[in-house]
Amino acid sequence: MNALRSLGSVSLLLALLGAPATAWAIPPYPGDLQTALKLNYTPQCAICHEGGVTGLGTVTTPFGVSMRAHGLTDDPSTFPGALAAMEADKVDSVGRGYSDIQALQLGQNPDTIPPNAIPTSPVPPDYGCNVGRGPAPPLLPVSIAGFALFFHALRRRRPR
Amino acid sequence: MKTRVHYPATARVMSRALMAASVVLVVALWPRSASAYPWFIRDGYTHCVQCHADPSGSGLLTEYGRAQGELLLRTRYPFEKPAEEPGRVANFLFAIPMPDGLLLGGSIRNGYLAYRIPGSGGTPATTATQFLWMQEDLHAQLQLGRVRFNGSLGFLPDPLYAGPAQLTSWSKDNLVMRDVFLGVDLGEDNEVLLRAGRINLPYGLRTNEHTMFIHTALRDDTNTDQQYGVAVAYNHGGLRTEAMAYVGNLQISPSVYWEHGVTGYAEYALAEKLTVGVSALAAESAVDLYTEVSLVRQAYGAFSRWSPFRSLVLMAEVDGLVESLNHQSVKPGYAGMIQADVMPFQGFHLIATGEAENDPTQAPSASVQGAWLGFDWFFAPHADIRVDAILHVGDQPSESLLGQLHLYL
Repeated sequence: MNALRSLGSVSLLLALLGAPATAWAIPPYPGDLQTALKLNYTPQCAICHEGGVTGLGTVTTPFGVSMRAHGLTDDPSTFPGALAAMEADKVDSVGRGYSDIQALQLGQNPDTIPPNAIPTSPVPPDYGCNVGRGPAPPLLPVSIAGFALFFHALRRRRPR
Repeated sequence: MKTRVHYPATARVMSRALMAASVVLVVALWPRSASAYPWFIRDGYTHCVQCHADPSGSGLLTEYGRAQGELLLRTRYPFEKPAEEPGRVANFLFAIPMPDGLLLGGSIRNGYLAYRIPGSGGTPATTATQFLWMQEDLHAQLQLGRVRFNGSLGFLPDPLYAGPAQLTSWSKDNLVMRDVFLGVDLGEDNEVLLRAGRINLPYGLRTNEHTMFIHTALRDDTNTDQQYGVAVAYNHGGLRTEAMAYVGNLQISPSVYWEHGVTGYAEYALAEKLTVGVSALAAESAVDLYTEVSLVRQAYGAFSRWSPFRSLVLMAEVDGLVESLNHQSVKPGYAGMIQADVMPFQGFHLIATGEAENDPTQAPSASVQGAWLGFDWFFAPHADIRVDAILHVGDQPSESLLGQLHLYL
């Protein structure tokens, strides 16, 4: 019995060790991303894997979802094509106003909107120094003309 | 028996002045771009500072500038006596002399535009006519010793025409403020002016035609492109120059639309009627007012003015543009013009201009060539009439005829 348990344990161990390498190997994507975009840093796993927890079914961040939507799979050979497609489409996964690729090149997390970023649809400009709103006061020039006429009439008044 | 009361002369003058101002304001509400005439080089004026409160030209006139407006600018008629002195008509409102240290001015200009945009593909041609509210401003400067307080206040009924210069935020009939600054004259001969406020950008040739490519592509016109910042100008001998650092147009909100930058020019007179100059500009905005994405832009240019004889002035400017929209790759562009001003008799100018641009900020395509042909006639004291035929070909073709009537106070 003890031998069977041992054999079972060894078998299980061998099975685990013999499992597909992709389930356990360190993925190349962070390094591939750094190389492809000429970054001076290595992106963290968390830009694709929520909370940095890797494994099947954990690619749920906006950037990660976008990459998968552009062809990225577990097969590393799909990475260059997916990245090229992201770049061509200028994908902005979170509406920061510029692309995820640009955000990475700026050293930013592609899954968040930096405080100084401009939303995709900026607030329309408002002209004037907020001095008054709504309709203008009635006819300023006529008011000036009225004053001038009054002054002129006053000057022309002749005493009796 | 009734006795006529005699009022002091100043009261009579002020009354007439107010009446004249009222008529002008009510009847002739014409927007007008501040006038700049770089072709005054024909009379040996390589500098602008003698005639204008702005050391780089345009806008409020000095007393000397008013005199030249009467002596050199307008047509003198055979029935007039030869002018040695400008006379009272050169003054503010045709009559009012200013005390030392005070300059007052105003400008009223309206236009009428007829234009046609050719059709393409299945789209028919577009034709339209339009009354143009350009500018109508009052302008003043008070000088106390070496310190100047300068400002303008105008009125425009339609925000379409002067939004970036608006002071109020009403739905229509807004006040506009194009220029305001506090300045101090420095140097033994007041050759340096340091000022802070809302100021015309110093760059290249400062001309009236604010829709020309050298102004639309560079965004340096005197209509609405003023920015808030600090500028220092130097005028002495054959050299005139100005540099400015600016933080944006504070009359626009939110602040993401404020463009920050530096700009400047230097022009040198190689001869009495020949100048050459260079300009440079670098600026950025988080959200560009016209493209609504981030913009980083630079411009580097050269310009020249030459008058081989009094009846002819040639001017030219060429600018290289380097721009990046929305954090994307840098794109090059250019804008340039060459203009001939022929004056067959004093006050009457035949003006022909060729221009071209390739502006990366104008999507989807930006290569346009243009030609202007027209005249500007300063037919009476303080008044001129101008007509231009304007043709654009290339990516944005159009044909237009523009007439303007201008009165400066």
